[in-house]
Amino acid sequence: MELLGNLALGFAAATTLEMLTVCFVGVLLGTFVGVLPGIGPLAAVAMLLPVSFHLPAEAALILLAGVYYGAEYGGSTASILLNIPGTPSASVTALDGFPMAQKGRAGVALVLTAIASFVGGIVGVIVMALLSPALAGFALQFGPAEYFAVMVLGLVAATVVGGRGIVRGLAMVCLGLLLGTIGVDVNSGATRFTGGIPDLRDGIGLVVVAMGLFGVSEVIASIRGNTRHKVSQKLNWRSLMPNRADWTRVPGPALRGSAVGSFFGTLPGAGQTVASFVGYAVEKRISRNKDQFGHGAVEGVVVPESANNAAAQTAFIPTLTLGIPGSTTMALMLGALMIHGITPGPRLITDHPSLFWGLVASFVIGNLMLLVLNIPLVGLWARILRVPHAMLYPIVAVLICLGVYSLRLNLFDVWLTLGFGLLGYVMRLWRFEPAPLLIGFVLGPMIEEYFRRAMLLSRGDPLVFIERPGSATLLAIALMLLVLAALQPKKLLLRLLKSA
Amino acid sequence: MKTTLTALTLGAATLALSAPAVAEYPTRPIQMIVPFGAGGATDISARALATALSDIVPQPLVVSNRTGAGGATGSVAVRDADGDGYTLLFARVGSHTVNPAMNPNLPYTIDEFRFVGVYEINPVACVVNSNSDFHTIEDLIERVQADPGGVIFSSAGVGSMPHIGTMMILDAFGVEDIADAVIHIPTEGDGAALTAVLQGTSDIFCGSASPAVPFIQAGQMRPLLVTSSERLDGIDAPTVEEVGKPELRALVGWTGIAGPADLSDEAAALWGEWLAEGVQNTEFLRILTAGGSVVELMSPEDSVQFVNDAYETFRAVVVALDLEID
Amino acid sequence: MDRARLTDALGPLALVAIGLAFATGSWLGLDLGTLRRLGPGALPLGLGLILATLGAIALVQGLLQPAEQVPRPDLHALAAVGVAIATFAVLTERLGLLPAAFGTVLAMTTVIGDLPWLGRLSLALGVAIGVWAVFLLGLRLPIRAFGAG
Repeated sequence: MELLGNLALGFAAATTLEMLTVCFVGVLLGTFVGVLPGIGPLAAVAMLLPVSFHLPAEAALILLAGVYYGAEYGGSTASILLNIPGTPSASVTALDGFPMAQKGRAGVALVLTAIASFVGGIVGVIVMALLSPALAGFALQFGPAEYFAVMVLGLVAATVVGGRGIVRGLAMVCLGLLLGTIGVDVNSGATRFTGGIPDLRDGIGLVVVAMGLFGVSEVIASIRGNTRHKVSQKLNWRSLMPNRADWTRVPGPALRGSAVGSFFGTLPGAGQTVASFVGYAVEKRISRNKDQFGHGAVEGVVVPESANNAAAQTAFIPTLTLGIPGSTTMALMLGALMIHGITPGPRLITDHPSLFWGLVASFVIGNLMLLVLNIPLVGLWARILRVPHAMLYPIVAVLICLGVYSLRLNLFDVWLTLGFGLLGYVMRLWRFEPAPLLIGFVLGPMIEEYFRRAMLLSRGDPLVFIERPGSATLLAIALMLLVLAALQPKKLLLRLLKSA
Repeated sequence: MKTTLTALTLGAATLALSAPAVAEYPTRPIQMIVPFGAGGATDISARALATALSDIVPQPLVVSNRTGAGGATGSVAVRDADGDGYTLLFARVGSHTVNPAMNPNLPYTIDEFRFVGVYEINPVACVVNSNSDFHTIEDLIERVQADPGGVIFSSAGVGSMPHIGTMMILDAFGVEDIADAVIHIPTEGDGAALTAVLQGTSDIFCGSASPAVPFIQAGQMRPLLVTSSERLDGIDAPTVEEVGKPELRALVGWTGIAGPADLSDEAAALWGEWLAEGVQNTEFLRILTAGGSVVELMSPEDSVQFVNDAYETFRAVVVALDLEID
Repeated sequence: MDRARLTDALGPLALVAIGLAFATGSWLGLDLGTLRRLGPGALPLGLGLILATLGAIALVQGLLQPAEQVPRPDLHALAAVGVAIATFAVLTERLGLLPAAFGTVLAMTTVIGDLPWLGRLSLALGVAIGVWAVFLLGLRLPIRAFGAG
């Protein structure tokens, strides 16, 4: 009952004309900025931060949050249409989304993305509304050993998602982890593998790696290919909408993805990154259509999108109640709150009920707006693929350069992106997949930090990882995923039956 | 509704609007560089001040974040800029006290900047988990001396103020062999370092008081010490003077505005006037005090003195404890 | 051993080499620390060795399976993209963002050669105008439109 009262308060706060306007501006801007390659939620939120000074605290947070999850919606568009994801989770969507686009089903993939994102977002909001007070302490139960285990699970999931075998997947994860060590070591202050280049001291940017490995290599591979993508002959409502068979493959995966995403989202930092990978890996194991994964499976788009958006919502729980931002974008939102004199922490929900519940209500409204906004846009996006390659890819190349450059205003990053583009192209030729490398790269610094911290606390005893129940469970799941994938029990069983 | 629309367009309009042309400085927008990331403590302070100054300074102030190398990237950019007053820096304790003290190979020194005003001071507080056995700072010191390597402290990274500050406090209380007496857990920021205290991963955190206040008020953390000369609102802990270590008053965070060393006198004088008016802005004061800062504008001469003193204090600790990094 | 197999083996071999390079670098240049206080070199050393091992396994796997043909690299496309990104980097520094956007498109379309000259010029002009409208006017990125940065 208390919840209903709170929600009533929240909706009352969020449905004033002012808040609705702010929410709409936020999600609209987020969608468009998210579509631009390389310019993700971070750039959009940073851009609006000064504007939010002039708004009341509630409106400021609703605006920035709208941009944030709006950009999560939009971020998958470029990865489905052109195979240029800007984040690790979008790279999971690209695994099946891009093959769907190549088969002329780009519209279907985009519609499914919007719907899966909506389901994920709403499930995330429900979890947030019901469990925020209880979950506030959850992230605190997670010590360094548990965080380490979560990330190992994410990495294992990433090696399983690809179709090139466990060894090659693991090798790419290792390469990503190693590239992540370049720069100053957080624990000791020592500089590693920079070759004396000052621009490398802070490490290589995520967007540089993602835009190089995926974007630039895709441009190299495609620019002289067919002059046009295959697009269904008539771009009408029917060809864009999923058919009946597609629809039956949405509910299960969407709910499973949302559940996985809601859980991992509450773990600051690592959780949001691994949610899509774990969701995809699990679905690939249990799905009846596992052979289609990687070749345009509907589930392969639905699961990561629902997981990602559920995680994007539940990530607000630790951010607001503990003041721990899980990402740079979240750190910006904390900054926006602090500018209004509101310090996030355990008392936020009780001290500022209309802010917290208003935000929850605005999530529901914002997700609805996004759904209504995105479905009509699908036709527009799908038309992009009708542009001849000779015109499309030069534009994409400029967007990539600009996206990378805008983040730090550093041209060295542009050169580095070219380097990663060449690496990505070579990897393509030799059949190595970039997605596991990307997640290894993102998690590398975190996994090292937590590993070293856990060893410090256990006084050098590596058994700590299997003695603590939380980390033991997570590591066991990771091991199971790995063993199942390596042995492929069904094939073994078939072989045994045949020989018998 | 109307205010919202105004606010939304205001940001866009800031650049377009400019005061009638004047012959003297400033005749064009002034670049204000924040050497740290958006949304961080420096950034919030900088943007709040820039907003307060927007009615006072006749040209737009363009605040941009030039991050990297612990503040060195942005600092070097301003050092190398013309001294015409169109490129200024938000200097901070990290970039202009702690880093220069710890890193002799830093590409700049504090002499290469001309300070026009330090305007913000952030006292440091030491906090422990409320389940902790430590009720006073002396309890903690006793444990460290009885069980070397048994006490863990968290910080916002190697060479951050909480790192050096904790060591400074232990040193003031006579702890020897500090590097082995306590275990250091560097994290990615103040928030994560506080979380480590909440989780029980770390025993103590000594850093900017403001992010700890909500946890103290919620009863999850207990403050042991503050480095201000008077007790702070919302933090029921003795000051460094009450525990007989007044020298620790030097352990505070600060923010100020600086230009390159050859900054013109004209620009410096104007900035002194603008700042004196800007720090009176009620909205600015509200934002900074809500964040736990003390707004205190120092004259250019006092600012230089203050920055140099802070550097000397930190440098002495770094040399004594052999904390230099390379 | 045939040529295709040899080319295919270059990939895993490169992994072995990269792994060993990181491991050697950490071993020689970085502090490994102790088990309790792991140094900055500990993890890269371990990971480098694991990568080298995985590369070796992939190499053996490749030899046991029927050889897969590594496609020929498209040098023409590589040149186009290389020239485009280099143009962007060089011109943004010297002339500003809009000339860079214009030059990037022009250079890339010229190397590819699928469009007539008029098409190249108008596409480049269109992109420059679009970049100005969206990024400088709309998103207000603090980048100079014209002039050295």
